[in-house]
Amino acid sequence: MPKLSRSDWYDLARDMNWTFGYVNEADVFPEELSGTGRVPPEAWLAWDEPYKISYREYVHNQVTKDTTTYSLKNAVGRSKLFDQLDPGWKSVVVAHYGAIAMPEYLASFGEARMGRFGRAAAWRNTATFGTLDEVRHGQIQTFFPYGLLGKEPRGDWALKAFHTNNWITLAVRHLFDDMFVANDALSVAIQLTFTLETGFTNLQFLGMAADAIDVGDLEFGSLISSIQTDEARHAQQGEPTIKVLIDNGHKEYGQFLVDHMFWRAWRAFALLTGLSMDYYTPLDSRKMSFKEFIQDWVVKQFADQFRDYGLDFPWYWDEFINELDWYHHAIHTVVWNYRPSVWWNSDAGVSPKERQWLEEKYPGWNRAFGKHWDVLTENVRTGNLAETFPETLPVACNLCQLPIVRAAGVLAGAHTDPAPLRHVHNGRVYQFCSEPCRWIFTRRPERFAGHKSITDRLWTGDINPPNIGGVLAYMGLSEAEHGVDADNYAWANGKH
Amino acid sequence: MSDWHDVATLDDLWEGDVAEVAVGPDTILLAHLPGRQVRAYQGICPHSEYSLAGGDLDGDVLTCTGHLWEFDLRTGEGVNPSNCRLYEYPVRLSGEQIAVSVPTDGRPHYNRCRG
Ligand code: FES
Ligand SMILES: [Fe+2]
Repeated sequence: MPKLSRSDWYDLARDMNWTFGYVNEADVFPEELSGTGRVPPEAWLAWDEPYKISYREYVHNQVTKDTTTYSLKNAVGRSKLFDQLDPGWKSVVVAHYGAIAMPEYLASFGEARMGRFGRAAAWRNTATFGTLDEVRHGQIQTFFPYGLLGKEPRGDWALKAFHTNNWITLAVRHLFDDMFVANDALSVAIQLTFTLETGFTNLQFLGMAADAIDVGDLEFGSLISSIQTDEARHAQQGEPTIKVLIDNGHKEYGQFLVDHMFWRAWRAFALLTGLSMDYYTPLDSRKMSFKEFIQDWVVKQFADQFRDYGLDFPWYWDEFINELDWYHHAIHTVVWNYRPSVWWNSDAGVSPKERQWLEEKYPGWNRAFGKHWDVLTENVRTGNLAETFPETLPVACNLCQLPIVRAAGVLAGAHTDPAPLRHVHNGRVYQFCSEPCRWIFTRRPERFAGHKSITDRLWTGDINPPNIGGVLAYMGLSEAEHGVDADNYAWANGKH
Repeated sequence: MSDWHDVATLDDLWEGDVAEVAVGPDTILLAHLPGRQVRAYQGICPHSEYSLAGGDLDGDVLTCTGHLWEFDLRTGEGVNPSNCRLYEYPVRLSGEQIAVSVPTDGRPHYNRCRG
């Protein structure tokens, strides 16, 4: 039989469309689940994914990837490779698994929702592969850290983190519930695949895989590249979706969805990638600073996308660019101060050499943040470890759920007032870290109003006793699981 | 304006082979296709910047190892996705010598496609 080329059969095999005779459009594609109703059904036929794949090819590729990655894991698992890794890098890996493995699995819900409620057959087809991708990513990123359990008892936080009320989990869960667990198909395409995956994670995974190889973590490096190849394929759902939306006169709505999620993605990135790149990754293996990464990759990518689709930069663009200089440094300080409350060992990353690097990459770092670390260093040197643990808890933002660090913003010259921003909704006061977080909340308060931040839980008596011990227990951390300084304070004694 | 550069000989690049060469800031993919046809394209994948010389060449079609995008190296056109073509440099063969013409316009010679 002659072999047909893909273009001869692909559309026919993919486009399962028909006209409904017995049911209404709205019953098949309820707006809450589909979100595509602004655009007439026929217009969605223009949806086309650039990279085509058949089920047979998909399965073949995935089997090849799994075989390679799992056999590498087996080989590495028998070696001493993990023991020899830099302690800060181990923190990158342990933090990553806890924060990312379950969200990848949950992303399969969002993909499956597009696979059912996407308004074009081509879209549903691509999303079906995306669903399988995300199930795979959830499983492989739970399985690999379980293999580390003998060496790293918190490897099981890959599964456990999302079943606790740890404060990092609250932030990540709030974000991903908003982005894909409780989001309609159209918004998932624009917010998960266009804004987060195309805009941030595809680029970050490339960098992370390269760093992993550089520090000698072959297992993590091969895992991350094997995931990134899937992400790059299913992330392509975003562009055709935003194109159909804009071609049909709904640019403003597309812009709103992008603006909403770009800020949230930035917040999560500052927390996870910012700390990893600028503090946890060993100095010798840092190819660029977090700020350079965001400027050279994320900003450039978004500038291209905005230009191609006639979108504008989000209204808070200046505030975002401004935060590149200070926000993640402030969050790092909080995470380190409260190191027992996270499931990885926080790496201070402020040895004399590292401080020099920070000042070089972020002129003014010493003035805004160095002073605080001077005090901590002194306390460690004089054996006053107790002094390095704060006694009160920071206030969490009612949108991003991260600590409000405006005081550090004042030190860095970005804000004039350290007070949280406020908004009253149905008699309840909500507090925010930034104008964009408040804006996201107030545009759709009913979406967010019922959620309690960790601070709210403390104040309303959900956490008992309302002190540090009670909080740590509430967060699901047994004493053996408390994070400690990754380098056992070597940085304070000028060693590293 | 552009300059011709000797970059390789047919001894270095057998039929069915691809190779990467650098001319100034340009990274260039050379391909020797069936029938003594030599082509030169951007060396870095327009998708996510993997090196195309690491890809698999099957007949005229090169598959990038990054995310399996396919390019027809006879024409530079994308096969999958089809909306993405490679930047092409003119090639001259004199005897065994392969020369490539690189524009001296100070601009990047490089297409980029997202996906
Ligand atoms: S980098 Fe070549 S296909 Fe993605
Ligand atoms: Fe916030």
